[in-house]
Amino acid sequence: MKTTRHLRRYLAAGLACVFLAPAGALAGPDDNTLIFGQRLSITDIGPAYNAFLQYPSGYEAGFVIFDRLVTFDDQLQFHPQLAESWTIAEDQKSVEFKLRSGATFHDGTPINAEAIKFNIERMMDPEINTTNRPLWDPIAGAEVVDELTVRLLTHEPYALLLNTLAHGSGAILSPTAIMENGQESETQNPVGSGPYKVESFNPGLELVLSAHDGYWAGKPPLDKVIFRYIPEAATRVSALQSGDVDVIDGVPTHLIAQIESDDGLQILASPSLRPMGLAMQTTVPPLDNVNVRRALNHAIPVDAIAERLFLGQARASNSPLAFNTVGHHGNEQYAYDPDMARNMLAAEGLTDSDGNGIVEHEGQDLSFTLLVPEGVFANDVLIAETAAAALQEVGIGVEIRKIERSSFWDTLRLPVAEAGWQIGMFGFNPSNASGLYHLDSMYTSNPDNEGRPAVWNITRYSNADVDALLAEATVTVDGDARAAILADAQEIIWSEAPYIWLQVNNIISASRADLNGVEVWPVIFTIVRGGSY
Amino acid sequence: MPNLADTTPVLRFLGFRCLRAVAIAFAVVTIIFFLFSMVPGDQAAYLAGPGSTQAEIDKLRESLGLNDPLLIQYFRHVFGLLQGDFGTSEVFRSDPLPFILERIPATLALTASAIGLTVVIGIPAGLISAMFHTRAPDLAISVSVVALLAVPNFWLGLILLSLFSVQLGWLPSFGFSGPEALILPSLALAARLIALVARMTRGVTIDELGKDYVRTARSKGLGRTAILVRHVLRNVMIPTLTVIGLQTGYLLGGSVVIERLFAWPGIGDLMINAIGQRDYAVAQAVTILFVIAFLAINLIVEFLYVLINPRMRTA
Repeated sequence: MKTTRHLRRYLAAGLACVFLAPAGALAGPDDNTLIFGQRLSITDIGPAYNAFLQYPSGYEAGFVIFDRLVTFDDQLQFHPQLAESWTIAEDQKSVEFKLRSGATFHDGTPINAEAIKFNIERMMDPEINTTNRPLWDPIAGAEVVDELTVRLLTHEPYALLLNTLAHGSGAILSPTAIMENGQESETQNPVGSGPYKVESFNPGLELVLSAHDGYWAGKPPLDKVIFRYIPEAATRVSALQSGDVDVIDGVPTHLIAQIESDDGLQILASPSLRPMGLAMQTTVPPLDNVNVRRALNHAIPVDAIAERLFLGQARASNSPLAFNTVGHHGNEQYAYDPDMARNMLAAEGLTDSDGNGIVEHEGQDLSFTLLVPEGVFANDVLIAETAAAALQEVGIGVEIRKIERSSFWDTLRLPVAEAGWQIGMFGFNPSNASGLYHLDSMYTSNPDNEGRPAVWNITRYSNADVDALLAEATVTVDGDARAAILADAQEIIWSEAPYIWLQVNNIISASRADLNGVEVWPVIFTIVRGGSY
Repeated sequence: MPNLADTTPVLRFLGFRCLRAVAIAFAVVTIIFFLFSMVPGDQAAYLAGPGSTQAEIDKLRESLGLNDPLLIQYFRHVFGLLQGDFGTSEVFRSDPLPFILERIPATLALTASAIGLTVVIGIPAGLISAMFHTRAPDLAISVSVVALLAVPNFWLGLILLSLFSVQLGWLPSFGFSGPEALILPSLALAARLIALVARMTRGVTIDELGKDYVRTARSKGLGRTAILVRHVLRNVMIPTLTVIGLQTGYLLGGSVVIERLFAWPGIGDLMINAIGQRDYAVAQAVTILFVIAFLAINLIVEFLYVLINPRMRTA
């Protein structure tokens, strides 16, 4: 029996080691450090080359490490950052920026007109700025006026200049560091001028920032800001609840209640700028018929999707632009009315003559392939299944084709002949908050409708009036005048329905309740730059 | 100490197994390459991103060598691998190997501690169960075994997280911040294997206890525990170690899921992200390393066979 006792003792000791050893070994929440548990990892930091991979995690780090000439707030209003003020020239083709004095980079290099010029010219170079070309192509150059004044030139009056400068790619880096360490050094060890500087970076895992004592707005409130990659939503929430992290992003709707029930935590939500929709290939019959597209819009219960699938954290769209996008203009929504949808389809000759529940088009049962990614958009597959059922209800056959996320974006942009889908889920996120940029990227006619879309016009929508309006808006610097032009464009696009318009959902992050100053920008970013306890 | 005449067939056997492992590794490299080349969509178009012109995509295709015939790409790939060149990671903008090597210790630690837990918990549980055959401890352990086998490790991980991190606050919820951080992920990872090993050990022990040598030992006057430890355990270890060895390969697969759940800085998660970002250099390198690890583990198991079971030496 002696050995048995030994066995038992070992067993007990083993279990004790496993379950008890670390009790109390963890430190409590630290009020000098902010840990941000992110859904995606950061593999690359600077604005050039891969531009802050991944999106949005890399950008979120960039907003803390770098300053830009101007910045947004969570209402998407512009505020001075490195520039104190700016003046637009008479001909509207140049803007003069007066810089803040006494600001320095993390390496001590002074921030002057020369440094700004260096950065602007870098982003104009297509070899260096490979990712955000549409934002920077309209810029023609930068001139040093005096030590603290820099003039930016544009080819034409460029309405979105401030949006570009406030965008993450407008980050200003230390020219000294880049000259010394090489152009690509910014991706792993960038030197900016923001409140926190890079202390260590383990790509794909963790980015540790420490306070920049020489920050122009005064010593930052925290010692450290740490970005930590936690891919699993349930783990992020657990980490927040257990105090291992202070902020998390990507909170799924079904976990909101769990956070709200905890007094020590708060939800940070903001309506996104990404209107979701089902893109219809408008060159493929019968989707080339505007009345058919309108009928499909009447077939989908978008309000129910917003209420049931998003538990109210979403709202049915009323424009090709999201509600908070600059320039948004509301239109009359397509009411959910399956009978009306059926009648509209019948009026276009799409009726079910063989009684199998599916309408015929040119003698064949009408069926579409609906392309949907798994886990790219919130509730993507659930929405696709709901939409497919609703379309079947009015006699449209739908075959859902789920696709892995790495292949998704490219499959959306395939030439029509190769695409293999007629309806695809998509939502564009204008990362510079501009409605013009959004509409231009999605609805300006493609030069070649047979090939890949030039930007994101995957519906191959083409309307000469819309093209003219968007071209006009691009050179209209006055905000109100531009908004009026964009409103006209939105009315046309909304009524011609290249999409089955769906919902705009909230971006949902969460944090410790005693953490202040963390913002969720509708442009999808959770900004921890101003965080303090 | 076996004499030389004994070891020659053993060496021949092991040499054959090594050669076979190399052949399998080569076949797997080939299959992986062609599988990756079949992934729908254009890698260059993906990497260039939306808004890029056709000219930019073409230029990228050229620089990635994607315009060459597939066979040429294949030979270039294999030739590179033989020289330890895994290509260039488009995400890390460099040779992927350092990033992969940096992640390996975390995965090894997780796998090793899962195997450790299996040995420390699974084998004793099986022995106890056999010793108390059909009595209460046996029933309790058998029911636990069935439960552990039925529970997906992902779900078990979530339960452990909410209990030990959120409710009790004893253990970190994610990451590899210290030895204590190993406990939850390795428990979640090992649960199924612990159950398998306990069940296996129990069955074999019960069989062995009914054999002639046990009766002989008992008639000599040896106590039950002494028989168990001195005679039976040795025979039980052979099939048990085999199960552990073979299942270790599957632990690697399970670790991909568990690493993701616990934000573990291992190679499993690296691979998932690489696939998501079309970073073929990383994805292929990790896949190849997984395969090599799997083959190496199988080889080690076969070596262990020979060590433990003398009859295998002449087989």
